[in-house]
Amino acid sequence: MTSALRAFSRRMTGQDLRATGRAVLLAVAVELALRMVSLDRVAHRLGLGFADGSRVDPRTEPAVPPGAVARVALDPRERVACRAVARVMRRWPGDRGTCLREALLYGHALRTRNPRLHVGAGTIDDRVVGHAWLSFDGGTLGYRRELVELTSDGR
Amino acid sequence: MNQSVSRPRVIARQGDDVLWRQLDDRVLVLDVSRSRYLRLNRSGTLLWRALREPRTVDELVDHLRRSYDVSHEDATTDVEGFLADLREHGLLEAA
Repeated sequence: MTSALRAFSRRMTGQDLRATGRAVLLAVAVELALRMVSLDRVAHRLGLGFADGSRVDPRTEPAVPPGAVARVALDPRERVACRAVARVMRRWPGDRGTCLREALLYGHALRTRNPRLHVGAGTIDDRVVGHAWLSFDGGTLGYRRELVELTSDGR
Repeated sequence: MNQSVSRPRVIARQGDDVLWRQLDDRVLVLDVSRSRYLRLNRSGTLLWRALREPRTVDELVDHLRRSYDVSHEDATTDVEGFLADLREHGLLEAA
C-alpha cells in the first residue's frame, strides 16, 4: 500500500472504509450498466425514478420548483453513504458524464426518499453539454439553472 | 404491360426511449437507451418536430419543401438520409 493510500485510509473509520468499498463497486457496476442497458433501467435498478417532466402527474407528484435546493437531515446511514459517494466521485476517472454517475450514486444512497433522476442539456460555447440531477423531498440536488430539462414531448 | 411503381410507404415517428428539447433553433435529443446526446441541424429539427406524429417519407419531403427551396429529389435524399441516421441511432419507431 502506498503511503498516500495509507494516509487516505487512516482518516476513515471502518464504517467509512466499508461504505467507500461499496461505492467503488457500485460505481463500477453503474459504469458497465450504462454501456449495456438503457438509462431509465439503470435508474430503476438503483431505486430512482426516471423523471420526465411531460409525464408528471400533478395529483400524485407535486412539481419540484427548479433550483429549490434539497435541505434534508440525513440519517447516519445516508450520511456515511453520501460521504463515500463524494469520496469516490472526486477521484472517478473521466470528465464526461460524471454528473450522471454522481446523480445515480447519490440517488441510490438516498433511495428511501424516492429520488427522481432528471436529465437536461444546453449549449455552452456552441458545445452540447448534458447534465443530470436529482429531485427529492421538495428540492433538487445538482440542478444547474443554465440548462433545461429534456422531456419526451420536447416541452 | 403497364406496371405502376409506387414508393414504399415508410411510416416512422419519434422513438419512445428519447428525451428532447428545442434550444434556440435546434433540437437536442438524448437517446436514453445509449445515454447519448445528439444535436440536430435546422432541417433535422424541422423534420424531428414533424415526427411527433407518424409520417411517411412523402409527407416529410413536402414538409421540408414548404420551408426550404429545394428540389423534390434533393429533399427526398435529405429526408431518407435523416431517417437512416435516426434509425442508426435508434431514435425512430416504425409506426
